[in-house]
Amino acid sequence: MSIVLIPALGALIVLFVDALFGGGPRGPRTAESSRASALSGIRLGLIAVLTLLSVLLLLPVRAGDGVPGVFALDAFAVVGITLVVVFSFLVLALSLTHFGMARSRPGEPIGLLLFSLAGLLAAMASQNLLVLMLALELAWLPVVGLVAIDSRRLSSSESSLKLFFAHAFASLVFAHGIAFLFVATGRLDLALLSQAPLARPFLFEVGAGLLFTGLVARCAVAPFHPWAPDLHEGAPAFVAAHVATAAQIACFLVLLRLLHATLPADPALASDFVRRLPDWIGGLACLTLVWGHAMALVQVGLRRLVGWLAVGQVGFLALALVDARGDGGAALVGALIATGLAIVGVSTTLSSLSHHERACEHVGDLAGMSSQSPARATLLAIFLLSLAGFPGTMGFAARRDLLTAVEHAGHRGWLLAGVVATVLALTAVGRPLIAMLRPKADPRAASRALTNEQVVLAICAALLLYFGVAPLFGERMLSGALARWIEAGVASLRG
Amino acid sequence: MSHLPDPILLFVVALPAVVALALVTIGFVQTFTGMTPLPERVWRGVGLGTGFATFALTLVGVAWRFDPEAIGVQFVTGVGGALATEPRILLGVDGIGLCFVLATAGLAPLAILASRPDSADSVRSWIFVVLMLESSLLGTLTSLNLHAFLFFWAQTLLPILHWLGRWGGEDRGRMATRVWVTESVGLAGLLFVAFALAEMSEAQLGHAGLDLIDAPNAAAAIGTAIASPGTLLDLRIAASDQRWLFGILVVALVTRLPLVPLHFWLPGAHATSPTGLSILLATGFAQTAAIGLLRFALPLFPEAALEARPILALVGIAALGYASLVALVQKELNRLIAYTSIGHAGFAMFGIATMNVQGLTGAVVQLLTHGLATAGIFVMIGALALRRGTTEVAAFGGLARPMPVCAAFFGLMVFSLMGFPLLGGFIGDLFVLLGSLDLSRELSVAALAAMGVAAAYLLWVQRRVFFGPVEEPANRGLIDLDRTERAMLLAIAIPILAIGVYPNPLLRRVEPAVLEILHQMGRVSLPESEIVPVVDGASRSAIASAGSEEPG
Repeated sequence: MSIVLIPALGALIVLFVDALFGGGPRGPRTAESSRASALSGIRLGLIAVLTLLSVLLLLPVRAGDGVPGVFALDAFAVVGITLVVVFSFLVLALSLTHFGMARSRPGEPIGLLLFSLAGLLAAMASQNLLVLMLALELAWLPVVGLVAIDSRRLSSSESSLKLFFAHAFASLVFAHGIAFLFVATGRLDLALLSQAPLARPFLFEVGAGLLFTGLVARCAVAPFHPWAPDLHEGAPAFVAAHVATAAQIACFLVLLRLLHATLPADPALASDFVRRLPDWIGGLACLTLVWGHAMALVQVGLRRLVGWLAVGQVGFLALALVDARGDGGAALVGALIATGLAIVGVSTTLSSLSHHERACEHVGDLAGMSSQSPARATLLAIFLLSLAGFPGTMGFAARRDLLTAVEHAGHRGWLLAGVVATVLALTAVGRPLIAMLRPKADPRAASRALTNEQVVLAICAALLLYFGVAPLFGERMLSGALARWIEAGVASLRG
Repeated sequence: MSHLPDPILLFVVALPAVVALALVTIGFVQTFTGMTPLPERVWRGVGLGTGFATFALTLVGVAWRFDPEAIGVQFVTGVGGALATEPRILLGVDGIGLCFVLATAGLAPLAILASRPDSADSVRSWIFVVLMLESSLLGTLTSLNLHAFLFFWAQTLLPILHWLGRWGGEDRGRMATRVWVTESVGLAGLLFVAFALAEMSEAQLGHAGLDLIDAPNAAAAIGTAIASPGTLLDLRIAASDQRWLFGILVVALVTRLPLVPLHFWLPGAHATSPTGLSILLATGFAQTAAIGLLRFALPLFPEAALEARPILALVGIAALGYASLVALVQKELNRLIAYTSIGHAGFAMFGIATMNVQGLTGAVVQLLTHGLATAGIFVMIGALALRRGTTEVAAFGGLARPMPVCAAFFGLMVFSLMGFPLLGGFIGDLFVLLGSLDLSRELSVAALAAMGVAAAYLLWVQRRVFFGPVEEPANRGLIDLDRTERAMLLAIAIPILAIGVYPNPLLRRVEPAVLEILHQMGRVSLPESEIVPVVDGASRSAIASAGSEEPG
């Protein structure tokens, strides 16, 4: 069995254990139910952690293996799987808050999370379009359920419904793309993308267009993005973090793999359609980054603000694809890490402020945070500034590499769009930053961060600051190793 | 002549930041371990001590050892990547940087003395913010590559936002937002220019370096033998590219100077700022913009700069005139002095637009002395606000009687701002006007007229606040400045008087730096062997024999 399916096995074990030993009492929230739910969450979470650890430990051993024609654990897949698994540890740690608050029984969410991870890992290692589609279904359908898991909130169900429709649209388009490609070439392996048939070029182009549209829609690139801010608003923090990290990393890496498979090394050999493909994605990326950041400017709700900032980030990430065969690939992976860390950090901070009945929902709710919770205020500032690409954070370093790649690809106009979006992003994050400095209107003290939240916050902030500042002072050991590892992974796509 | 790197500037820039981070760490340890918090005076003492230590280090380690005869940057040092393509921090000072660094390092402890937050709990955060701001301002003023400049430029924003947003007066949220948005635009502009220059550097020099000094020296400064040839100054940038890049860079930089019409954040910011922040906003903060213009914009885009001379001069004069007229109708002291700063920023831009030795020297001196004088005035406004609880002009009158020392210092600062002979402001104004004769006599006359309006409102405010009868009963019993306030004002007044009476030491240091800028712009010819920036500088005597100004 390929190691990409180990999380699915872990999910089955979790569901089995949960069915046998129960996941805590149902009914209204009490101290007892909270404790039981948290303990159950820790137990089942341990199974999930062990599952993911086994993936990580087996990864170096099984690297290079695979199921011929189905999965291939090449260096690129190893990079993607490692990142997804590492981010999943953070997501699992964050999920303990959800179970500790007895907002749902832990069995189903952890099971769904592991099923989703299995799909994501399979998608990144997939070498066959049909397998890829099935993997994406396996990855996203559990997410639809996870988004709706917070039964107390109507917005949770609403955002789940929106995600379901968005997912259905993306799957439909993607499936049609595969169908067209099969009709045009008679094949389903990824290599078919690099060999446009002479007989039916139109069908091939329609198929490839639909294939990429389906993937782009799944990545929340505009105009297929409206589900993303709703998801951040309605979904529990750990689910939003899962979508912004593992799911986003997997979708973008699949997109990068398909682009590599489609674009020939020598652009002169490409057809007009193939040559223009990165430009079309780049155009949508510009639209996304300006749209996302501009909408972030006018948000009052904190979670929607983060959601729109995340959409803007998707624009930046997609912009890297215009230089997919050049420096853009490595820049994309770096930016995915920076974005993931920042969004996990913001989600965790907001989650830690919302333990009481009075949740931290609006920008104004942050008032007084700098004096009452200076540590969390500082951390939230670091996460937001990193999202906005402020110098001294990993977000800036990632954005610099990304925009440099865009410029190398000869798109100065898009560089300008990136700079405009940076102004919008800085302006948007300025409001929560300033709100934290205002005096507190509500006399009630902010809720304390739980231990699991403190750990996640510390890890995210330390990494964002370290990779933002240390390279400036000549540190090359960790940052250099990370850059080389990513570069080696992306280089494996070039054969 | 040793070519070993001298790390003194690293110490100067890092000392406040290191102490600030140590304070925060101690604070967190105390919080988590439940230890009794240290009393307010300890935090304050550490902050003050660090401020004075940094100033002493700057004075003894940098200013004392600075070779005024040398052309080019001195005390070059750095940390970071060995290759030009890697981000790194390179620091160094020329005569211009030295003046601004001294002023900022000297005024930072005064900023701590001049204001204090309300609760003991926030003293630690407050000291942290002041020290971080000082460190980032010093870093910006000494940056020798765009990486470092951009990094420190951005880092200055966070302490200012924190200081203004947390300890500012009424409407601080709105004012902090204004500052943040305006500065975001400036930051993005700088980013864009940095990207464009990196791309050009890669295309022409084979590496995406952003250094201003030559690679062997850069390599020596960061302690490595690896070097890549060429700096930003070696780029051959097409005239059309120069125009838009210069335009974007100037707009980005003058958001902070600030120049009309990008000045809108300053009056409100000064009105709501605590005194200490106003002091640093008027000095180091504005001077970082001037350093950016002189160190990056003019030498990198000389053709565009020369083309833009009339526009820059006109904008500068218009800014001075506009700010002077608006200042006439201000009813609040902080806003009024803010418009003075805006007007003088316009005048400094007018000096920079002359792009000759006198004009640039005058602009630097003017920015320096204006910063000192406004810092002094802000100290006095803070003292008045403390005593009367208001800074409305109408609330005062006849204060010379109960507060004679304050009136004397206020007069000194105001006369310096007006450009009165034997005071620092006069030297700057004189040199700018002398330089402007080369540009346009009509503009010189216009500048004189605008200065007349500026003098009028400064005299008006002095008369309104300090002279005439004491009408408000609350003003009768006002206590004059205390010893700390007098010491602070004396510390500010001494350099103003010294520059006015004997400007030669200052001019001897500024002039070589100006000559180097003009040489880089192709406006002055100097022997090539003498102007290459080296760790120890080169002999200035060559300028005397070879330097000659070329017509623009």
